[in-house]
Amino acid sequence: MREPAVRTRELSVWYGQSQALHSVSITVPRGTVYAVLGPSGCGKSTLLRAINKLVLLREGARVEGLVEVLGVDVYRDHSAEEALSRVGMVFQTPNPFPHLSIYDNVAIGPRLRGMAKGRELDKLVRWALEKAALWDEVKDRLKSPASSLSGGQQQRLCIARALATMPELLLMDEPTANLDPVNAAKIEELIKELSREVTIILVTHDAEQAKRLASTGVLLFMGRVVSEGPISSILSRSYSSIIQSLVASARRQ
Amino acid sequence: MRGRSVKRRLVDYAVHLTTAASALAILGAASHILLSALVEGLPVLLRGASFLLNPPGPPGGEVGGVGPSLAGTLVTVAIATIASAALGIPAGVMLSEARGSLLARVAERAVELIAESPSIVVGLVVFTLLVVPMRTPSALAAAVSLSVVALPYVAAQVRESLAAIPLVYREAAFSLGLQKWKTVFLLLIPMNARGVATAILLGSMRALGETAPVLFTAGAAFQVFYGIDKPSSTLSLLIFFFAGTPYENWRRLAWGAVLLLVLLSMLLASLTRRLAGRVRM
Repeated sequence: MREPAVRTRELSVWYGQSQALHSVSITVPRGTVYAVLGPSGCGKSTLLRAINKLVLLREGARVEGLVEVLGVDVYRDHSAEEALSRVGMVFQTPNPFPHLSIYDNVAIGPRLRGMAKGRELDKLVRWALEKAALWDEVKDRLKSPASSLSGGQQQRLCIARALATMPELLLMDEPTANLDPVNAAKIEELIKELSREVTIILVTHDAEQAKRLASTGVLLFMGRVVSEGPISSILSRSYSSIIQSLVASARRQ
Repeated sequence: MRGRSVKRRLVDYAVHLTTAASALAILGAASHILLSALVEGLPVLLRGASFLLNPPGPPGGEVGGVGPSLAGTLVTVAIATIASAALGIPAGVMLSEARGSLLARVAERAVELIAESPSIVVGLVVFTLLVVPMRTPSALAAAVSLSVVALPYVAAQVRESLAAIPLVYREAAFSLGLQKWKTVFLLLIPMNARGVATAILLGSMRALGETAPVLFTAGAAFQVFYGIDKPSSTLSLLIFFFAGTPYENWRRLAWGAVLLLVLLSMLLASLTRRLAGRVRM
């Protein structure tokens, strides 16, 4: 049996003195959409960033425990860089590179990694933009700055940028949080499409979105795992009643 | 109540007056520098090609020009700019990207130490390390001492321009799965290319204006520019040596050099401001 896409054991993360994750152990099976649920500030984004080590970009961040990505211990193994090169990420705020054109935003990853050049690169860019359902809207202005696109288009461009590096695992940090309902629905459709080919870890605080898109997931509260497993069992009660009872029990302690 | 209100207004006026007076004093000093340079230097500068290309005249004779010193200035500042950029950009990258590590902390202290050292000390150190073994002062030794003086400015500005890149773009860059050096040099630096260009210009401005580091290192070859490994001179050195002489023609030449130096500095400063103003981050 193939190893899971991601496995964490006793993962703890600190920002300076404050602990953001407490001994988090999760297993993300391959070929699924795995939802990371929880209220704001519960450590969802930190968990995602601990998986691809972006957490270390933050001042004073410290990580303990095991994080295995595609079978590689990314904090200890020498092959961590190679494993992480097979991981893409899409962020909550659309963040195309401001100094690059639409084309170059998608091409920059494969170009700098030496994956393709010339016509091959053109084909790859087109493929990624088509996958991200953006090609028809931008094919006539590929040289325009990425900042000329609308918010929803920018987010799809960021998805294309991540796809162009051919990831096996895609981390998505509330990718629809800053979008209007129409654009959010487009991104959701895209996630469904992509989930046939890549494993997706989707951070969301929207329980309905998790039900629509994910098969398994984890519920976090105050940096700890509350439950992990099929979404239907995590969300057996209404999400708001779960959160209310968690908040109430935290207050009692 | 009325007394308090009058007192408050009086204090208000006094503070206004003090700040306005200091602003005026600074403006007065700046105008005086510019006006003196213009009044004394413009007639010399307007001699045109003969001022820019010829060597100085003999003591008490023709005014002549600043040709060899201008050539020396351009060559030393160019070499110093290239050298300070070549060292300062990687140093700035390390200070920003490896901050907190032992090496970065040591480098940070070293950069601060150079920045805090009187520039004449830098000149003296380069004199012992380069001029003594070469047995001659040279444009190269002057350029080395100027590059050392400019280095902390370049490194600090590069560090700041990288630090100014918002975390959202930094995360996006690092999420592409590139090696760290590629992410920094091929993505983050081009993202704030204007910040880095500003750093290089700041370094060249600093090199252009310095006199103390070249006192021991450049030599005093005002008549001919012999080449980079031979004794040389710069505009600031010419001003230093000629302004204090009893010869009227040399003092006038020094004023011409003052105006030329002020104009070159203003040109670099305005370029720097234009670039810095357009920095996207």
